[in-house]
Amino acid sequence: MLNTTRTALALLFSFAMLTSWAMAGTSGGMNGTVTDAKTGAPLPGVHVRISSSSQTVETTTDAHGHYSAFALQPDTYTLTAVKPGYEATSISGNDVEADQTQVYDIQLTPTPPSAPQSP
Amino acid sequence: MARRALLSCAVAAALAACSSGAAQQSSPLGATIPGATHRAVPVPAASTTTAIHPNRAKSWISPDAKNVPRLLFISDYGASDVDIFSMPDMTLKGTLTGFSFPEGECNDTNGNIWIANTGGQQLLLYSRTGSLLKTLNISGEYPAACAVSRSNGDLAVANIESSTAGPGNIMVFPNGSGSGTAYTNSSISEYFFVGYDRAGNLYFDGTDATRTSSYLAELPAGSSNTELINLTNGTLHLAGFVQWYRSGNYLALGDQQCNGSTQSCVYWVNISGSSGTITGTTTLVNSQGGQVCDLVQGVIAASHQRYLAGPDYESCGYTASTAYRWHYDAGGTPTNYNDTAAFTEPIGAAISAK
Repeated sequence: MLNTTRTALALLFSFAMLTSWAMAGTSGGMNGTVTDAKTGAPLPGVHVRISSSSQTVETTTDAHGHYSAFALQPDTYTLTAVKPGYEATSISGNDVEADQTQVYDIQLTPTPPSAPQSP
Repeated sequence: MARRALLSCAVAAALAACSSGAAQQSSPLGATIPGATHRAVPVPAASTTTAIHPNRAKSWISPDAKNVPRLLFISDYGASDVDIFSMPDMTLKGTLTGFSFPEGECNDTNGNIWIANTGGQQLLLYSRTGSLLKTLNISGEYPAACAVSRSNGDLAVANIESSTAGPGNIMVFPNGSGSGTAYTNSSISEYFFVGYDRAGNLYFDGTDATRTSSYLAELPAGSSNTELINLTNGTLHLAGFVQWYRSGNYLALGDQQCNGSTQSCVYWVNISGSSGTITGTTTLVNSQGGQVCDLVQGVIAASHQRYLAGPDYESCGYTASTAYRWHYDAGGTPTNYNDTAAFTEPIGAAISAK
């Protein structure tokens, strides 16, 4: 039993070392919260595209308006957020550095609905 | 056992991190996106994000407002606020914040005010002292106006359009609750205003998709079929507010382009079956003696004398947006007004009676 545990721990240690060796200095991460620019309310279901010349990643905000992306190549990314009822928004110049997680929050401006009045 | 659990957690965490990263990869979006309008500010990874909620913190109401017999609520579509005035002197008594493009309003039988929070796709019920009492979500629709039946308490909502820019509808919520039942009329695409008569018949107006033509229609009490009201002795040019005027036993029908002009007015419409005869018109003058150009929703009420109250949005550019009170149905020059409330784009109006 003790040997089994030692073997498992050794395997895990090796896996972790290999992973950290492979990842060290090669990737970073990004996360943030998407909110309504008028009310400040977090927005779930926002389609977020994170793109650079080296890679493109897509994700969707959760119930708390939070998005995240991992294993991003160090680069300068453009964030694009899209949700029906809001103006699509692109933000360029978001840097990702190796071994760091950057936080980039996004505000979306609601598209005004029609109003019962003369133009 | 504890050690085995620790091992399981460590492996699970490592695998979760791997699969989470892999799950982010997918093909690019096909849509063309406009240029950047916001600049994100990098935050150190160690920082935490505070939970964010709609900002109602800036709301205020004067403590003496609760003693005012009649309060006028005006929704400001442009500012996403609702301002509260004492009647008849039109003194600003409070501002409710945190809305998303609020449009029309209506009062219930308890002095509370329903506000169409149009951008939020919901109706919000507020007490006369500014407490949020109830939220009625109307997902997929943009509610623009409402009315409460005095005969049975039903809440009717005019949804000006769907959230995907499709045609709107009329929805009726028994006692202001539930999921509601939708009604449409084939001639109307954008539904503007609603109003009940004493018998529970529901009148509503709106326009076609291009706003070229305006229509008045009815959902008779107990019916599931709508029908157009054929207007004679006049034309509805741009649909305005709809309210049954009990003292005159007629339907007060706002026209934002009275007789085809830029002026707003109120038609007196006698209803008989599916016919409506315009028997008179209330014309309105602003605080500078000029015409009232943008009265979108007015509300008729009584306190010793009958009056019409509502906002005028930048009356043809020669007055500031102003909250008014006129005699009704005489109209003419206002008895009271407030042109210092700093409206952005006021649209809706309702009165809370104590």
